[in-house]
Amino acid sequence: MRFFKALTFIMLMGLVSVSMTGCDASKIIDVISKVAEGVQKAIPAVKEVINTVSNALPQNTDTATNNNTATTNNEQAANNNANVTITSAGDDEDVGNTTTTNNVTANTTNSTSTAQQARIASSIRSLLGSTSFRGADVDGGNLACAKVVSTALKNAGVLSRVQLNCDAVVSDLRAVGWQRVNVPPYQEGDVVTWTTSRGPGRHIGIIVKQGNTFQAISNSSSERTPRVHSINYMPITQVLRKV
Amino acid sequence: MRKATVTLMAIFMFAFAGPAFCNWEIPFGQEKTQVGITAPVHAEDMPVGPGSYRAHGSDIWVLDSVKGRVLCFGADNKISQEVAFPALGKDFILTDFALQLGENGEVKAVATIDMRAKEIVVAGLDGKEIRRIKAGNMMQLDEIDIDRNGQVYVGDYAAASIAVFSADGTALRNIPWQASGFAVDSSNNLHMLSYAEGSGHALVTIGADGKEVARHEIGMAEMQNPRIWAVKDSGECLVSMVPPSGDPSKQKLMLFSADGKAAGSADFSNPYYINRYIAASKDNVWLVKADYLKAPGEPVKFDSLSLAK
Repeated sequence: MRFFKALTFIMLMGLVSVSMTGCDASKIIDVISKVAEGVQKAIPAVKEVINTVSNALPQNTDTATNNNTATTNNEQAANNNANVTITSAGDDEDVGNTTTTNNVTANTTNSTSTAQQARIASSIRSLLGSTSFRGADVDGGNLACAKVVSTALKNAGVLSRVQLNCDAVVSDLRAVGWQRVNVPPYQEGDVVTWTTSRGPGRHIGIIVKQGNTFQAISNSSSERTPRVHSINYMPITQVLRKV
Repeated sequence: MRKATVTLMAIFMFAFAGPAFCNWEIPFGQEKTQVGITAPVHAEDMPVGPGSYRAHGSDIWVLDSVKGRVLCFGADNKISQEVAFPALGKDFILTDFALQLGENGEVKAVATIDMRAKEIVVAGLDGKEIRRIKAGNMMQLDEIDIDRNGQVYVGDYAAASIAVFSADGTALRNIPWQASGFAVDSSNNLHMLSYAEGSGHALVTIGADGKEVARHEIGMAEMQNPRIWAVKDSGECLVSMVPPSGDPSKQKLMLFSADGKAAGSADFSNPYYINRYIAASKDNVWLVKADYLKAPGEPVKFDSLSLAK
């Protein structure tokens, strides 16, 4: 009985320690092992308790290992996904078309889209730092994201008009064959929308590449000019690409 | 006897486990001990909270972007240092900060960048201005680090370069950069990443004089968005990358030895609205765990990342 009381007390203290330390299992197990070893040497009388604690340690380690395995499995599952997959974002998308496309067509399409992506990226880069998006139509630069993106797309020859809201830009892109894709991997020239506190797809930008770093250019409301920033600075709603 | 032993063990567990792993919780609010948060006001609807976090020893340092200051929280979660940046302009935008270390590794100054004013401000721990550098020719001021001699490095995503300023504020040079992070080591070397089609990524070390002193290929061409967060005295570098497929917010944090060998890794999901969210001290790596959209309801917390081999 005394033994069980003691064991319960140790486990409770262990739990308290875990809660105080941010639940870093491996480090906590390290500490517990060190303490157990020290006491084992000093007081043979508590060998029984220490053995019990030692017996408990492999179980914890197993749990940690299992967690790691689960993570690895998730990674593998993710890696098994196709690099770029057309998803069913809307009723107008035809997923089946990608599987029937022959290689020659695909290659031609790829080189065409690569050239187009480069044009788009170059076009949006040319707007960096611009003060041209501060008119009354965009609330002095506060609501200029759609105008910035559609201007860049128009200048790159992708769209034929400038739009003032994100949904309209996305709609125009879909009308010329752009579709939602899974990311990563990212590609230069992708159009990205973000979820803001007002809802999904309320902010829009274009992905650019520097080395192997993919960032986005979008209008900054606070600075009232387009700027480069991390793609992941807000939750991504969707990424559109000419497939 | 057993009771005494068990008590002793419990005390040991507390003594070892408590101070060894810090458990910071940083609340939002108006009080001096709280960090500022601004609810989304612009069309982007991005909340503004602390933009950058750095760890040093058993302390976490926080850039309080709203209140224009840096706070240091000790292992006991109490504020041990506050540095208010002097004479910031109207509507300042503080995106990053850096700690200038002294000869013995102690923090002796802090530096920040004001994106709106295009200024770099270096202040002593007493809050007195040491240096103010005008960087009007830069397009954006996104990341900053400072070496032990006071030489300042500022990354510009738009210009894809790092601007280097001497301790007296003189513009020295621009280093081409792929917007993939950088860090300064205790020997005043700059560490950055370089990517080339075919060979993949490389760790590049540049001396304080601007000359390249080392380059180690690490490959991993399939990984995107590399960012170097910190470099240890041993030369080990902490680098995050986005795997070729999966959830866009999922990243892999990797430790590379000084010669570019992978020495450990951990998976993590990045928080939003924060520029610098990985904080590394000599022995620990912390991931900022915060959702600024839920502020001030939920404080900033930190997850310890173990880099498994």
